[in-house]
Amino acid sequence: MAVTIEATRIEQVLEVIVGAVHGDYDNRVPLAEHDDAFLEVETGVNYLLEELIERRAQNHRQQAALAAKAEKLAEQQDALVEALSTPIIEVWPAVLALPIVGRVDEARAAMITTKLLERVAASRATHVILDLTGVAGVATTTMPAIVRMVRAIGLLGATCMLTGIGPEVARQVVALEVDASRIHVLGQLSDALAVVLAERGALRR
Amino acid sequence: MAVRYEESTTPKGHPLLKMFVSGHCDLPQAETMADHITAGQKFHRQRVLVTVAPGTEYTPDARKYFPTLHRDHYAMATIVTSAVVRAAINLISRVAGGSRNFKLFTDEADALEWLDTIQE
Repeated sequence: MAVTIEATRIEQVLEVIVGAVHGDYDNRVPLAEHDDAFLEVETGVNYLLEELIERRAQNHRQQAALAAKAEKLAEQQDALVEALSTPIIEVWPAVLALPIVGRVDEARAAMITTKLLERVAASRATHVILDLTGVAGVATTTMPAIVRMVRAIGLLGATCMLTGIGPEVARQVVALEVDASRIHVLGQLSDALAVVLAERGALRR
Repeated sequence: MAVRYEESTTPKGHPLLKMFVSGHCDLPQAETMADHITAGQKFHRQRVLVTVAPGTEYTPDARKYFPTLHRDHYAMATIVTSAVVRAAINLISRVAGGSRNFKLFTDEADALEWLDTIQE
């Protein structure tokens, strides 16, 4: 099939295609009542541009949806991490235990202190056991932060005990020259619980 | 878009739905047209004669929807006098991989003759 096409029509199609290559999908090939096969090509180029606009809009919608999903997941993750960072357990009436796991930096120590003090006040706790069995290491500022936490708990009228200090953490505490002399330290969480219950006369031998 | 419907018969007496289409056709309007030939309707699986006015345009979603209607008609003849509209309809059909029992005409008499002779 041989078709004779005016050069202007071919130029117009090429101009629109070049624009589309540069991301401009808004141009259209002008259509006139030419009763030939090339009119279908011109129409096709216009339809293709409309499809590209639609696909671009779809991509934007999908990107926005993914971003919203990622933000929601990040919020859920933050909430989960925060919840897992301070699992405060009431092991006996007015006796709270907080097993601390992982590395404790100043920010985390501040968050734990806030949560713990709120809980001590709310539950009128008499004893708080901070179990450091799961603490791998302490930052330079961590032990001073823990010591401040212990003092703050004391100001609320509760007694704070530290348990589970491993050899590595102990070495770090000594190296950092933290004054831990006024802190009640015990080997294991069960030891601290036994002391508390004995104080209350709950343990009968 | 303006669509007008007319119930008629072919020269050989087959039931015929005539549609006269003009203007800008989007998906809801295409669906309204389709409602006349869907299952349970009087003209489901019957002959359809569509006259499309010059200047009629189809939105991308309407263009994708129309070829799906071949299940609901026995045969569809479309009369188009505009070369631009004919190119559009040809392209819609080409993108859909062809349409069964569908043909374009420029003249109503030819279209009616085809509708009377077409075998499924």
